Amino acid sequence: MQCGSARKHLYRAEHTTSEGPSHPVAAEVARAEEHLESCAACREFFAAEERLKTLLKLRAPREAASLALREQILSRLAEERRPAGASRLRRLIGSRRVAWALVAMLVIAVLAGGFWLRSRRSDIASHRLTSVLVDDHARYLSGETEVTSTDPEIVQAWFRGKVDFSFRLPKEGGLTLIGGRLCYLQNRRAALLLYGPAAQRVSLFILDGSDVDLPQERLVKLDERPCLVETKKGYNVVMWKERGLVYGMVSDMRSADLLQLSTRF
Amino acid sequence: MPRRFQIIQGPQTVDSEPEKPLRQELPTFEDALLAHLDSLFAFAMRLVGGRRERAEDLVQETALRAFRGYGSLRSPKKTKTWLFQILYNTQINEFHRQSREPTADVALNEALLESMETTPCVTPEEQFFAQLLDSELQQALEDLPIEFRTTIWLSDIEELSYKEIAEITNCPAGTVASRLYRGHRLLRERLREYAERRGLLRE
Repeated sequence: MQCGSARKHLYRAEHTTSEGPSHPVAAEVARAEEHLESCAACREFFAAEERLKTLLKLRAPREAASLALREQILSRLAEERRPAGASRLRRLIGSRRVAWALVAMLVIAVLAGGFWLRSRRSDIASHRLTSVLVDDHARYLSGETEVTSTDPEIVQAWFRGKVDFSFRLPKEGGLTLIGGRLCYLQNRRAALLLYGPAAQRVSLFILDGSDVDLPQERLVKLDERPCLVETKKGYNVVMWKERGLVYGMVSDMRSADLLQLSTRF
Repeated sequence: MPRRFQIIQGPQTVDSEPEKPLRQELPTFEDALLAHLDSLFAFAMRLVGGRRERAEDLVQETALRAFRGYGSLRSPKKTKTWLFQILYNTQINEFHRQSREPTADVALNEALLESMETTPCVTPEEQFFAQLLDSELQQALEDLPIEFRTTIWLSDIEELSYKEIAEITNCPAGTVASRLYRGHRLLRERLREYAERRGLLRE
């Protein structure tokens, strides 16, 4: 057997022997092995191949996978393993139409939430204001005024420069004006008008209402004017907003009468 | 005709084994993958010319593809070959397509094997091999065409059989033998060049 032929059979030996010992080429491999015994050049040929293999095995770079790569792969596999429902949801969210629907729902939810929150806040604010009005009404029940006059013009004039808003009082309010005084509501100056007789005091508070919201859902309309009617500590309170001012009327008279009275202002 | 009929009835013959639910015998995919992850990464590094980020991308993509197809693996014994095959195909089909320069395959023939270089050189290979730098060996390996590089790596480093390498690289086993031999020859030439440049060879 020639060197080239022997080397070919031996080089391919693994391939040929895998086809079984009865394969015709297996006989050629046996002859090639015989050749190798007697051929130094062929032995050197295979020895050189072995040297190169050894060099590679010993010194070829074998970089290990980093810990970060392992973790990244495991995390992505965990994501892949998530229940089908979750991936269906992800796919669903991935579709443009559903994404828009979700955005629309979100906007509606935010608006509704904002509206609810605002209405809730105004509800709480009006409750607080009612409490303050009732407390101040009780405090000044004795008729302690800073300006005493039955003339609305004089009382109005007294408040000029003392409060940062302007108001007008009806000349015929159906009530007797006793006078007025300053008070502080929600950390700002407000006007308090006191009406009599002494047996049935009525306090009218007037304050800047630019940041006061009355809870819309609880307002009742009287002569086209929305009013809030509340009862606290035995007193009835009627509140309304007009031209940026908040009016609060407090008395122990019946709420219907108080409401009727409020329409004169 | 009777023989053909017998073949159709193959599963009833004594030699044929009944089909086993091999899928149930497979370890979890994560276990199977992690057992070969370092080998896969090192192989990926050789395929992408030592660029670590590219190799990591390639291994990640391989892991995902393999995970999705794990059910098709019939035997745990084939896991390594199967993973290497996915990695190789991913690199060839997705990453390497643009730059790929196909290597002409030549059958392993007598003329090729007899033309082994016999450059007169008094310096034994063992001697200059020992003096080569690791970086030179790495560079010489990476300079080889991808088919040769792959075959050398899978045969010499991973010690896979020609048959397994043939499955991974989708070529006949005879071609694997030819690529291995030609790859060795090219690599040896490159290593000699490095050795000559550094004056390690005496002629």
